[in-house]
Amino acid sequence: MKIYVCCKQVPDVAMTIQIKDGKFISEGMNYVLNAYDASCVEEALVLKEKYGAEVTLVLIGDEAGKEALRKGLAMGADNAFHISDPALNNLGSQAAAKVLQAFFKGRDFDFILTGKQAQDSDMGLAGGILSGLLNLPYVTNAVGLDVQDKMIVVKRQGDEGVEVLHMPMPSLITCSNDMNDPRIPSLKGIMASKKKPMEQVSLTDLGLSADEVLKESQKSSLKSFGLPPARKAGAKIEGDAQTLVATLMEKLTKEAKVL
Amino acid sequence: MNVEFNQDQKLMQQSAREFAEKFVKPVAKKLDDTQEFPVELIQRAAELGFMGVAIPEEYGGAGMDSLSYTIMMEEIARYCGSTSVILSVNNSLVCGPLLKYGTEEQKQKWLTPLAKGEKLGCYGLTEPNAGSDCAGTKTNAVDKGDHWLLNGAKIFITNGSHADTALVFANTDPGKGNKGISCFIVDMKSPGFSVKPMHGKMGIRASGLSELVFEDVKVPKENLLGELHKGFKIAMTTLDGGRIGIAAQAIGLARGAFEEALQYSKERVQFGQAISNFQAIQFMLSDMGMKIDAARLLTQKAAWMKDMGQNYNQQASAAKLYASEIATWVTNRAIQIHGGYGYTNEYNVERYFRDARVCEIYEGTSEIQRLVVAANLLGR
Amino acid sequence: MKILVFADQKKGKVKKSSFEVLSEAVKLSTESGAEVHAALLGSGVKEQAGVLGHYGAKTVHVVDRPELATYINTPFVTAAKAVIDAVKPRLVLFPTSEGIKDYIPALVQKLDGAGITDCCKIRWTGNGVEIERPLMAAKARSTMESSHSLILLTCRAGSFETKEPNPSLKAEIVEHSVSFPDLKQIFKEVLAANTGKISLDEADVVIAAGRGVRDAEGLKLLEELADVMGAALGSTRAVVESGLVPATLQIGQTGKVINPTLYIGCGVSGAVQHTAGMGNSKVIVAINKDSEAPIFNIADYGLVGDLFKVVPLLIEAVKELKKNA
Repeated sequence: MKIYVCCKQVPDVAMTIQIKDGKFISEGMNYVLNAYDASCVEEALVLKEKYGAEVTLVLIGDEAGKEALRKGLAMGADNAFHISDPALNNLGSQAAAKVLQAFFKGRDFDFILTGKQAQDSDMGLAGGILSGLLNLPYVTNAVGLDVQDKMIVVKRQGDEGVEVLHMPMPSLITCSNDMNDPRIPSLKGIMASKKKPMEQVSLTDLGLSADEVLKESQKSSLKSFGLPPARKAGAKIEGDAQTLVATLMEKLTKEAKVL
Repeated sequence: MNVEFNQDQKLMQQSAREFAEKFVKPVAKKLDDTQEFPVELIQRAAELGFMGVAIPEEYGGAGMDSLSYTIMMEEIARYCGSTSVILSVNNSLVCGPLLKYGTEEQKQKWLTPLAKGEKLGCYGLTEPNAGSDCAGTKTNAVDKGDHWLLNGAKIFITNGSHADTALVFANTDPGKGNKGISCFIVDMKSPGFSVKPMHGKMGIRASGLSELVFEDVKVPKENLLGELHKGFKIAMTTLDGGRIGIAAQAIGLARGAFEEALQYSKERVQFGQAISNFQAIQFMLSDMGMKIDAARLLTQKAAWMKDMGQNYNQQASAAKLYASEIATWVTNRAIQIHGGYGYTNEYNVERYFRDARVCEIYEGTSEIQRLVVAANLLGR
Repeated sequence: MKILVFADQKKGKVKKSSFEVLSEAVKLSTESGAEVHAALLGSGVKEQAGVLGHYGAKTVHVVDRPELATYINTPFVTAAKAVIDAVKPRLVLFPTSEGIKDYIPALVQKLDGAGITDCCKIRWTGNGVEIERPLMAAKARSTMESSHSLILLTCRAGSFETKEPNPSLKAEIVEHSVSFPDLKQIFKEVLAANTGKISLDEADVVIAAGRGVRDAEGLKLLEELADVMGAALGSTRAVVESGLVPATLQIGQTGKVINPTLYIGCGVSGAVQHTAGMGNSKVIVAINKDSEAPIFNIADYGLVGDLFKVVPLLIEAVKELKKNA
């Protein structure tokens, strides 16, 4: 099998997020492989161990992005493509999908995995858009993956429960981090990853012009960052248990509208 | 000058951090409470290659540099002093001298399984009457023609309770003081070798601290490490390397406590505002952060000098001395910032303080480190 | 100009989140002078279309077909695209559900539109929209703008005000015929929701157990509450340490950071170590005997009472609500 995993490098959102004058402060942040993508790599490696497969990573990003690719290689992926171009900094979902479409043109594969969203934007569109551009069937939010009789058996966390779907090859699947617990790269894996092939790809190599990417980027634009509003103490409700529950149900359904 | 980690080091940091957050952090308090050696955790660390970080791959190690090793030590000590010291002993005090002084056969037979983490090592230097004063070593080894006969005892031996292989320093030429000490590789399953666990420690309580007792232990001739009577030099150079690891451990502990104090200060409300708004707290935080940074740079410099093949004796001592002293200070301030809660075991800072305190004592007390630095400064 | 709202439904019944989004569309229409349309996709949903009129939809576009009986993305994309092609809206709004999150990317791609998800504020700028949305695990917010010719937005639940329905408002119901392509993927089954535990960091509702649950009996009560609410169960460090729950359920600085729509802390005191992990919850409910417990400082609704008395009644009340829903 041939499996591609599309990855992104993101700031470590477990750290304190700093925003100044509407701008995200990247200084001092650690940048890591998107956790949802790490789950994709893990799942691809499990399938590789089970059935045999070549696992190839693809990442759009600047020089620092190579570190995220090396992490995937250190986990056990076979090779990687690093798509890098000054025109490709801070791409939105739609532009990223456009670039990846160009990358996959003429390539053979059994399926593409990518995270259900990136931890920095939490947008969750790129995978599905890419599958549309490639005219592939797709499914999002996978929590389980297997291969049976040349079909990909996907368990997807849906609204009513876990939906089981059989996808043909090739397909695109976006993965949840509930799917697995990604392995930690061993030091041996880290050292071995240096020797694995990592190919540089430019926009020109893809036969794509900066204008074509810009056209996608301009569909929507990010203006500024802010912090979520601070929390204040709300209402303290006192009384007997009946009163408490009745008041709470009233508040949750009518005021907060979360039930 | 470049103070940024290279990609290997960054990836090592990520792996060590993930391991520490996922596996060490959840059990750290329990390890301290129960004083139980974390067998499973150490197995996991071994699988990741943390038992022989700076040992070449041909001998089962990860083949990384000393700087990477300090990065790992800091990330793990950030959550647990016990776990970090277990790794430190195997890496620097056991694998280190085996690599430097071992014959090819010894490396294949003893170093490889230790660096892979299939076996665990301990370092038998300290005795009731001989710590940094190596000359006072009472444990002795007598040449019996086809083997050495080992008798005596060692105390305060980290990993002792679970180790497979011990490096034991013994007197081979009584009356010659430092010039009569030799180092032996001892299989701990040898008849006559017994281990008595030691309890009641203030900190790093899950490190398998033990007393080692040798009663007519037969040690094969080929298990002499390095030259006969040259064990003192092995002990001293080994401790130089070990000090870099202890410095990194102290930094990790200080950082763990500092991060908790920083967070707590932003959340703890007194007089209607977060205590981080008070200058008294701010001054403590800024000094804590500054000292940790300074200690880290000192330690990284020592590791870098080691990697460059330079003499790092003075820098290793200076780093260990400074890092351990600021670790005591920082963890103590972290308790202060936590106020009454900091004095209880509901929060981690008191454990960090207890764990950090020993860094000023083991692998050479602060006083010994000052002597080493002074000797270098004065050219003695 | 037209604003089109896609209603979400479950077993033919329109979900409340749809009314919330429709109310927001009506509000936006007064700013932009737009006409509000709604769309309802599903099988056996036609009868429900009228209610969307009560919330201000002028026209409700219905695709009522057996192909839409079980959720699978391809037919929903086809149906949604057919409605959008016919209505030609400038702005399309969606509530959020796992189904919508699944099919909206393909829709954005096929319509060559601009897509933004999880919007919690929407403003009409005159030639497009300016929105706000949480990101980076809800630790930050971004403002985005689009003046594209077709904008598709999904809305974060609970972000907008739902207007009271007006039954005298009637919508014109338009049925659309759609030809569905053959499916490439095969739908097998839905495994019952309760077979897979709902994961803590993804859950919309989280029930957190604090020291006050005391023992396995207390925990069972909370598990029952979680079950009836379709919620995930979490806990404080103290409960993990007591051995009642595994460490994977720990919320807080030493544990998981969560941001559910609704968090209900039972017997949780609210130590900073815990609140660091749940402070981003949209609505925080606290049930605690101790009226001085620090969790009341951040709770939207703080119930001062014994969880052993309150929770059983709450379970009954939620069951009642679900029955009537």
